Amino acid sequence: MASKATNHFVMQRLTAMIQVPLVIWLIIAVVGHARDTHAEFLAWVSSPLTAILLVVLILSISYHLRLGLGEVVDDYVHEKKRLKTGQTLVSLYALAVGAVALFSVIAITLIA
Amino acid sequence: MSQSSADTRPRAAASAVRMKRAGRDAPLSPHLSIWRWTPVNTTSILHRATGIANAAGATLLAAWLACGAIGEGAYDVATAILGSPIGLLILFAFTLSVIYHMTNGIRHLIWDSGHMIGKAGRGTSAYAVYGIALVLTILVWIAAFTLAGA
Ligand code: HEM
Repeated sequence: MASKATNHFVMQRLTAMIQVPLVIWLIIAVVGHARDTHAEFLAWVSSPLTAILLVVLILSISYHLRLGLGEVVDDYVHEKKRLKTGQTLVSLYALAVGAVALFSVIAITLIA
Repeated sequence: MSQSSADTRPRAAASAVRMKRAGRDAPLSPHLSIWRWTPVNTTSILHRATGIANAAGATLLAAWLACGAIGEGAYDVATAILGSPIGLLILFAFTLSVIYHMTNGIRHLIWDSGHMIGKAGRGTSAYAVYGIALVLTILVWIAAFTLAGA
């Protein structure tokens, strides 16, 4: 694989490209499901197409936001130790958001 | 597009020359405080600001899905909060944030492919991004309220 910086650049853009159609889909879908009852919500999330699109979007977003927030931390935190801590916090945050969202979709798919 | 609005040269450049003549140190390096804010260079800091806001939005998405997974009680609480005036305002802000970031992100991707990197393209596309983001956000919300009324 190329250098770490190149990998970062490529993945930031790859996730960006994946997200364009998926975010447009999500906005339209959420507008359509804003008034759902709980039963309707479960039926929607657990339909195969919705579930798979959500899973791909969640994975892409959590990677994209880890790289993106990591870059922000890189720019403003200069002390080495603090920078490391900042990067770790960003990674944990991205992991937590991704894990909760992913687990929820899986759980809904299994219970619905 | 006016020429002046695309000019992002440091404001302090001229005064730096003056300071040097007066025997004082020039500023070390370009810094945030000496860039003149223009509609064109503001797209850049807005990309960062909306990226950070989107991260908060992703947290909300995760919370929404989690409430749905937990059960009807949690889901109804989430829906009530999101449907309240403050909830709707927050959702409107996230809509604008994600659509702006996406539109300007596409502009970044076009630049990365080597297109539209001249001064004119940079300026015109900045105004296009503002316009498209605003119009799309308003359309989304018109659609949302139209569907809600139906
Ligand atoms: C919808 C499609 C999206 C596209 C096309 C997109 C595109 C991009 C691009 C190209 C960059 C790099 C900019 C640069 O190198 O200067 C970027 C940065 C970033 N993005 Fe996205 N993005 C999208 C969605 C999101 C989402 C949903 C989030 C958050 C959950 C997000 C968070 C960020 C953050 C935090 C940065 C770093 C900002 C910075 O370094 O200043 N983006 N995005």
